[in-house]
This record gives sequence, structure tokens and C-alpha cells, in this order.
Amino acid sequence: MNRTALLLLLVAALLLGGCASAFPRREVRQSASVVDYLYPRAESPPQAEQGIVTLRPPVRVGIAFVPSPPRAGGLPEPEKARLLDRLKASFQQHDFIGRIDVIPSAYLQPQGGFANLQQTARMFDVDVVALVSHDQVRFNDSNSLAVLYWTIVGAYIIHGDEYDVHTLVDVSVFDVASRRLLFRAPGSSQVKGSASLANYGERTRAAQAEGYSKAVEQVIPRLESELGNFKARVRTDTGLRVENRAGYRGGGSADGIALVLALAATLAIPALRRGR
Amino acid sequence: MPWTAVSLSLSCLALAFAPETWLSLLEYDRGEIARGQWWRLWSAHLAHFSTAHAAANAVTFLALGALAERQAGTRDFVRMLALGAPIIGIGLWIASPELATYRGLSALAWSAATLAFLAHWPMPAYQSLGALALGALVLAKLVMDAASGAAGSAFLPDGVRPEAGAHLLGVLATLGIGLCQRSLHGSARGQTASPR
Repeated sequence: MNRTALLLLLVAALLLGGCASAFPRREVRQSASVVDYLYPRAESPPQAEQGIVTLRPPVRVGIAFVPSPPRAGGLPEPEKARLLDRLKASFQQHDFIGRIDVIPSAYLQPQGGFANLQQTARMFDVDVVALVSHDQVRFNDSNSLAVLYWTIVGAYIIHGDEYDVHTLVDVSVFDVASRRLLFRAPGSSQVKGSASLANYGERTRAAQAEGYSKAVEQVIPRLESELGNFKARVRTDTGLRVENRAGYRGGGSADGIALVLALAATLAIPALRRGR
Repeated sequence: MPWTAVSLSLSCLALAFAPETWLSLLEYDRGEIARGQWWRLWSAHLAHFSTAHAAANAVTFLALGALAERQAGTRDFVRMLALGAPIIGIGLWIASPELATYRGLSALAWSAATLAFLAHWPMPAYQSLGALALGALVLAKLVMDAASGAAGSAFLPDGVRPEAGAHLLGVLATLGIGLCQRSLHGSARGQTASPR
């Protein structure tokens, strides 16, 4: 083999290698699991907490994204804050819930366990924490049009790459003192699309953000329904106790039955007057 | 015209527009009552947290109070209010040691409803069974609300818990007053009847 042939072979290998590295991996995953965070390294199998949950309305709630492991990627902090604000609105509609704080991810350590959760809850002065875990997988595929990328112009105008983003978002609400899971609300989404090689990165980032947004949209009604169920459960579940917070303000207020009785009385007075 | 019920309801509505400093002098305040401000046991029922809260309670009290005043008479109605109001306050003191402040006329509205019920007693046998069953259902609901502490109210502002126990105390206070009154009345009648 002469020197020219060897040089050509090297150049060809370099070019082909460059093309291969220009295409993204076939599967990209971003996830933060509540189990990995609360039970790090699975030292002991998680066991059901048996303690009684004592709630003191108005309950103070913290909402946070489960911290992602280092180099696991994930949503940028402003996007997380925006999604948490939307979840916050679901909690605000209930009278037994008081202050709601959005806890930035920086306050939670990956694999921090309940010790880290309790520390953060104390810092923010919250009784209950809603942990938002997520699992997003993006599949990347090329279609038959991708062959036109070799025309250079094709890389800018031909949609030869396809993506399929599957997202699962789960809100688990924990009582910090008893470490008990009170309720959870899941949501999922799928976003599909295609892009040219030149704007593939930008399109997939937007699709991933859209995936989170759609999953959160699904979580919100479920969370509201679970909050309603939980309020009803408080009356019957012996594991849940409601106590008043020291120094609370109370009000005597007419309720449904009192108003019905008042209406009946209003109707009865003229009848009694006629009877006399 | 049931003047007592009307005047108390109007007072509540008028006080809803009073400055907060006045209302804070009228509310049930555990610390201040301990320091000797006993009037709060009566005046707490006239103070409210918002105009919506005052309006809902005033309308309810007006309807139930007017019925009770008409059925039991003004003298018994005033006696029930004068004795029932501090009994509710003392009951809250004992049953809810965590309660710092309280406002609202609804407990006295429940007292009025109980007085109107008692004024009809004794009833004919065919009515008494239904009335007792209805009364027991309402009482059970009040006991459940007081025990669970989970009752909500659309009329209370944020940060104020509905004090469902006060409603139960309002009913129990009137039942207690009614029983005492009847036993005193009965013994007085017995004394006047014995010489004959």
C-alpha cells in the first residue's frame, strides 16, 4: 500500500467517524426517582411507615423536584420553577392548606434520604413535602430522507431525523414527621416530531420541555382529585389525626345545615303566624 | 316583631364595618380573658372576621333567632343568649386550649335553633319520634365535625379555622339551660302544689 492510499484511507475514516458522531445517541434518558432519593443505595428495603400522621391545619406545604443524580441532565431551574408554580395552584384551592413554598432543587441533595428531606422541611418550615419525580426518555431515529443530508443543503431543509419523547411525572406527597406517603398523582405524555440535522438539538429540547408541560397538565386534575379524596379520608382513616395548631384563630361560621335550618325557619314563621 | 333577634343581627352587620382595633377588643382572646376581660365571653359572638362572615351568620341568626323568640318568648330567648354566650366561651376555653382568638354568631344561631326545638316539646307521640331522629342526626353531624376538625367554611378568610366545636357547645348550652329551667320550674310548681 503506497502512502497516498494510506492517507486516503485515514481521511475517509476520519470523515465517517465525524458523521457518526454528528448523530445523537438513539436513546437519551433524564430521570430523578423518589425511591433513589429517599432510600439511597437501597441499604435497607423500604418498609411501610406505621406511625400516625398528625396534621395541624392550615398545613404548610413545600413543593420540590426530586434532585437528579450528578451528570444525569434534566430541566433547567427556571423551567422547574415554572412547573412547580402550576402545581402550587392546585394546592392553593383547599382551605386546610396554608402557606405553600416552592423549594429550589439546590436545597435537596441527590440520594439525601429522609434526613435531607427533614432538614429542608425544617429550613422552610413546612409540614408536608410534595416531591416531583420524573422519568423522560427520548428516542432518536433517522428516516429514509436522511440520505439527503449528504447534499449539505439537505441537512438544513430535510427532516431526516425523528424523535419520540415519553415523559412520566409523579407527585408524591409525604408527611415529613411520620415519613408517610399521604397520596400521589401521576401524569404522562408522549411528544413526537421530526427535524432537520441542523435544528435537531433545538427541536428536541423544545419537545422535551413540552413533554414535561403536558405531563404536568395531566397531573394537575389528578392532584386536585387526590387532595379532595384525602380530605374525605381524614374523617375515616384512623392513621390520620387532625389537631389544631397552638395559638390558632377560630371562627364560628354558618355551614350548610345551619343555612337549611334557617331557610326552614323562615318558611315556618309565616305558617305559625297564620296558625295563631 | 322579634326585636332581640333583629337587633343582634343588625349589630353584627354594623360591627363588620368597624375598625379592626374595636373588633380586637370584642373577640374571644384567651390571654386577655385570663387577664380579666370577661366581657369578651359575650362580645365575641358579635365580632366577625369579614363582612361575608358577618353577613352569613347574621342572616342565619336572624331566621333561627326570630323563630326561637316567637316560639319561646322574648324573656326565655334573652335568658338563653345571656347564659348561653359565656357557657360557649367557657366551653371553648376548656375544650380548645390551643384556640387563641374566636369570633362569630353561628354558635348562638345553633342555640336559637335548639331553643325553638325545645319550645315545641313535648310534642304529640307521632311527631316526637321524627323530631328526635332529626335532632339526633344533626347532633351527630355536629359531634363529627367537632371531633374531626375538618369542616370547612367558604365565609372564613385564610388563616382562620372553622371552630365546629362552638356549634356543638351552642346546642349543649341551650339543652343544659332548658333542662335546668324545666327542673326549677317543676320543683317550684311542686312546692306551690304541696300545701294544697
